[in-house]
Amino acid sequence: MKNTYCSNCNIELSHTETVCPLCGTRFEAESAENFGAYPSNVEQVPLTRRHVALKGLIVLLFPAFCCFAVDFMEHGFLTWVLYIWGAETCLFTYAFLPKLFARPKLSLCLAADCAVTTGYLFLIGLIDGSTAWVLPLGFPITLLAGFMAYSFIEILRIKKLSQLFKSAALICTAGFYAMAVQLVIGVFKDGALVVGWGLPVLLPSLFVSLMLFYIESDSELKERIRRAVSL
Amino acid sequence: MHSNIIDKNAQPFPSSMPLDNAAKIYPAARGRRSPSLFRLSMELTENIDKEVLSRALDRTLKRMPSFSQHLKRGFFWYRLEHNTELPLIFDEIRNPCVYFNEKANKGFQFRVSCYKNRIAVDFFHVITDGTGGMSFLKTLVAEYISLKYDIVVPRGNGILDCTETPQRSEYEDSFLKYAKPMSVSRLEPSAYHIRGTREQYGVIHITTGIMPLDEISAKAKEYGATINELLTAVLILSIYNIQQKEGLPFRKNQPVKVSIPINLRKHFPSHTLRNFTTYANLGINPALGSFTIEEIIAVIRHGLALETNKKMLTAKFSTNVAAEKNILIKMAPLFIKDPVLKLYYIMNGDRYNSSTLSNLGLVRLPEEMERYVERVSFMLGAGMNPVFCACVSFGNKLCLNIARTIAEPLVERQFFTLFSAMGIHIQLESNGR
Repeated sequence: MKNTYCSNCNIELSHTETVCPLCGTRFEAESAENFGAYPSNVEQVPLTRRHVALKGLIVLLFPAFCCFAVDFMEHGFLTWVLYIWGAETCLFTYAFLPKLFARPKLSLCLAADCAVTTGYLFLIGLIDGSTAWVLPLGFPITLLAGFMAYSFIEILRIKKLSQLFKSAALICTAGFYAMAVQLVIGVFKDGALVVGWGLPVLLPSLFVSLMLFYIESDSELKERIRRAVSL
Repeated sequence: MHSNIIDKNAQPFPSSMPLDNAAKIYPAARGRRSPSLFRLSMELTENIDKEVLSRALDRTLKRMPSFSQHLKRGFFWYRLEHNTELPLIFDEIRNPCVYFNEKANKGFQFRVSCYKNRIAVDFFHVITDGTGGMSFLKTLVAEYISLKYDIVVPRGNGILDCTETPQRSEYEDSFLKYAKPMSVSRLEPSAYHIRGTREQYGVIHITTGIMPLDEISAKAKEYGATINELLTAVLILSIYNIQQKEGLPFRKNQPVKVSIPINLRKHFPSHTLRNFTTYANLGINPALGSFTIEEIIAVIRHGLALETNKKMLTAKFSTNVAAEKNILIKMAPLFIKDPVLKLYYIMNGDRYNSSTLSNLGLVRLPEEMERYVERVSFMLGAGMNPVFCACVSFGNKLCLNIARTIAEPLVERQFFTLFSAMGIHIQLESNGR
């Protein structure tokens, strides 16, 4: 059987090869019978996301149980352990709940994260004796955090955008988030839309974003900066 | 038949045994990114007869029962339980060393497969290392040839006689036997890691370079090096070239190191078929300036001399044995140990090396068997690092496999073109389509 030769890499290839493994140049296969040094069937790797979720649950249950035992022995009833349980429930929802599904939807995951966070805030309020702040303050800020996380992930997922463009978009989003948080706090505290510290955060982030957008649009400037930073 | 022969002095093979010291981390560390598998294969002159292979496997497993094991969870540690069933022979797949379906494989920790004239065995590192695996493959193929062609293949040199009973020394934990109360620090500077587009789970690119052993040997002599030193130096130079092409200044100065497994059987009188290997991470520090191939060879040669003396090797594996004997680690239940070991492996597993190069050396077979064997091959499955290299020589062929889990063939291109530029004739093969 005659071997192929990749002139691009200056290397001989076995007669079974149809593609040069080094440069990707394609060749004609000699005969279907001798096609491939390896068979065509591929072993499928099954998803083990559920196992990860289960292991996560086990890891979280251990400190939950230990804290319960210590708290109960100390006070005779449940006190601070509720904070731990709440935090662990949040952790499980953030990190492991999506693993229970083969293709979890980002929006649904973030909705679950917001719901569990609000629930945790409500629990904190309940233990401390006041839940009045949870709906007007805790819930909107949690919701805004969810929106910000959603925007961040969606921006990062866009493959066509350059790193600089993505960074600019992220900084800009963070600036708007800070402004929105300040407005929510203003409404809760003073009953009015107060700009407060939101503006000094928003303006610099907008400025930095615009700068990054400008650098991205000017390839010569970008190259000069890149070289200067590398030096 | 072998089953009728009873050695009165032989001890019965234990129904259950603990994992050896090196194997303890593998069940916890095993994951889709790092399946801890390696493959040994032999290509014969004719297509494989599955029925004969199955009979040969049965005889081989009766002689080498330390391979016929189930991995079971205990309360404190995993353990191996003897499996008396006969494993199935599978059709080969295009993506070896990425996943091991234990259920389909009746719980065995190795998988035998064949394709055309090739017999391949994928081993989970929990039962053996490269040397033990090679002994298993040699014995299996010797049995196959004996049955298929009705000839007598002389035993010895790693080929076991299947009419004999298993010896205790073949399944002992040599780490425990030769460990001494000494230790050495495992801390070292983190190494540079190759970057690329990570492939999906289950995708592995294998590039096999077949090179004439005499040409490589002559080239190594020219540099005053051994074949292993030359291969390691070229691999380091390849990774160094990739590193220098990256634009990031801080990554340009990270040490480029290659992990070299060291067969401890050459330094200790052990006949174990289980794990008995340690490793040395050797390489260059690009912060000191650029390196030529001669300088890299010198670094490797002196580094190996420092690392492979008996005292240093003993101290290295004794540190791991001491950790295993630590009362806190011993008494911690497995469901705690498992995630902790996993985390340790993720953080430290391949932190100190940029890649691995495992060289099993020259495989010698008896003349009666040699005439039926065309090629021997060795392959490592990927771990936390995306590129792994393994090689073995047989006859005048050095077969070097580079396995990668990233899309870009960065190391292969550098490595094989460097050898080609040295005037070494290379023939490439791959699992690409």
